[in-house]
Amino acid sequence: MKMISLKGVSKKYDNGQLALDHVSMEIEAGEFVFLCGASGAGKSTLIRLLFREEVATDGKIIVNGRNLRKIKRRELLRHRRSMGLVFQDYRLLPKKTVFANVAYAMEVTECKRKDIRKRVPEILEVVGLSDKAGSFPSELSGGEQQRVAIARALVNRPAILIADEPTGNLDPQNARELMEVLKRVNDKGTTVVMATHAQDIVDEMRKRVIMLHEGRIIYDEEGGGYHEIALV
Amino acid sequence: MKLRSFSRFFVEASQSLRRNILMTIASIATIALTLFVCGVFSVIVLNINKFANDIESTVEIQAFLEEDLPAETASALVTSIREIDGVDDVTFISKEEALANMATQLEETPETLLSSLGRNPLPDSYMVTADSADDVAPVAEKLEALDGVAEAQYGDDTVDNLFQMLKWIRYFGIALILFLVVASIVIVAFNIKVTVASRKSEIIIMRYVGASNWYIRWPFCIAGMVMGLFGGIIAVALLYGAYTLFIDQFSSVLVFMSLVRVNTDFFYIFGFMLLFGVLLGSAGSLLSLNVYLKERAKKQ
Ligand SMILES: Nc1ncnc2c1ncn2[C@@H]1O[C@H](COP(=O)(O)OP(=O)(O)OP(=O)(O)O)[C@@H](O)[C@H]1O
Ligand SMILES: [Mg+2]
Repeated sequence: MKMISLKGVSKKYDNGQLALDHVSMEIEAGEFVFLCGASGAGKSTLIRLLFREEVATDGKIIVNGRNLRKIKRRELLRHRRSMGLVFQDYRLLPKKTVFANVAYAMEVTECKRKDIRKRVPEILEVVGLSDKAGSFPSELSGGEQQRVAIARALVNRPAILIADEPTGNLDPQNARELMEVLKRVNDKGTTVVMATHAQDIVDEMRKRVIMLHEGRIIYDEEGGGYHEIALV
Repeated sequence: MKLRSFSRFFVEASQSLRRNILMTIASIATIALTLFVCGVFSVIVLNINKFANDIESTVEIQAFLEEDLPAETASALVTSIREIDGVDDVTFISKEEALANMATQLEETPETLLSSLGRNPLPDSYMVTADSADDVAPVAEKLEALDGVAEAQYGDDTVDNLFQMLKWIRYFGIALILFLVVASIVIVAFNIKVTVASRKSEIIIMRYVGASNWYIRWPFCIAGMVMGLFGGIIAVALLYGAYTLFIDQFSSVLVFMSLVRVNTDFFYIFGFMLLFGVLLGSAGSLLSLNVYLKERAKKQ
């Protein structure tokens, strides 16, 4: 089953900057995909289109069966809730505890308190933060904060996890641990799309790599590595 | 929106009110001040209205009847007069009563007055009061048109001018209140905007996590309502205290007009102040939030 499908997608920002130029790709359910490319290549733009924070100027995007151009307001909310998002800067609510931060993602979907009490500890266990449930984000290391963000992204069992340079602010050790978490999540069936320019991570994971350059796909290969762009 | 979400909203609202306690106090004070000034003007308008009504009710139109009108025709006129739009009260005054009234005014007895005049020159008349000041002139006109009525007279230019002035004072009061309402919404919106701006990144995160706009709005809205309610309570207490004190001190000085006591009209004003406080608070918070909730209006 196709999870994400782009056909001839272009994105031109209001200032005239062409960030994506006729991009086409297909991602199957359960895949792990790296979106690579130099700074300004269009990785974040692509992610914003998938989350429907921006609308494509041209082309067709279908995510999880939804045509993002025709999506209605109510449906848009459902679409966003079917995706978990992780960013380089964690984006946790500073005045809420770890537990409350993760629980918030369930509360906004108006879940029962009982379900929240059951599910949040489960997912904190998955990311290895059971003992930090009562801490505030400011009391955690960067790696721990990022794992909270992942727990929050996953708590509603999204079909897709999208991460935009999640290891950008982490040291190699924390980055490696984070990748372990993502791998485990993917092994359980969640589709993972991760934008990064961390060459060593990409090389090590040997997953599908989609390489962007100035808004165009220049390379899309299963089990590829970052270094191979030099040969293109 | 489910009920269980609202208990969360109340917790969120009370937390944010306590965390930003200075901003909360400032907003409550602004709302209280605005409502107090609105209340003061409402009370002034109330008093002016009462003053105007007191005067209006004393304006009488005198309809003099034609001389030598048969008594039956004269007494039958009362029905026609009652049928005129805007007529409140009608009293018959016979020429004898009129003479007696005149004698009292001149501090003489009717007999001496009659003997010095030779004969009673005053006609029979009807004393008519109108429902309101605006009705006086048209009623007088219609009275004169009636068969058997020789002339209808009322007040003079001074009374007319007073009515005119009272009307303008009333309009001015209403205009002033409207202006204050707009001004206070702007002030409260600005106040809350500062709070919201400090939470901009939080709001963006809420959206990323999939919160609907109303889910984000409600806690702010409730916080605004609570501030408005507190502001309203303070304003009502102030107004009540200030006005009772004012009546105590000044009702003996302001002899020319009787002040409105704290009555049912006041409870409408108090109720309005509380309600308006709540509306003001919520409108302020919703207005200041909208900037951040508009689709595609945000940057990362
Ligand atoms: N909101 C925006 N308005 C205008 N231009 C933008 C906007 N966001 C991105 N761009 C431009 O679009 C192009 C692609 O940007 P994008 O953020 O997608 O790159 P990226 O691959 O994520 O880069 P990085 O690795 O630095 O995060 C860049 O030239 C950028 O300047
Ligand atoms: Mg980027």
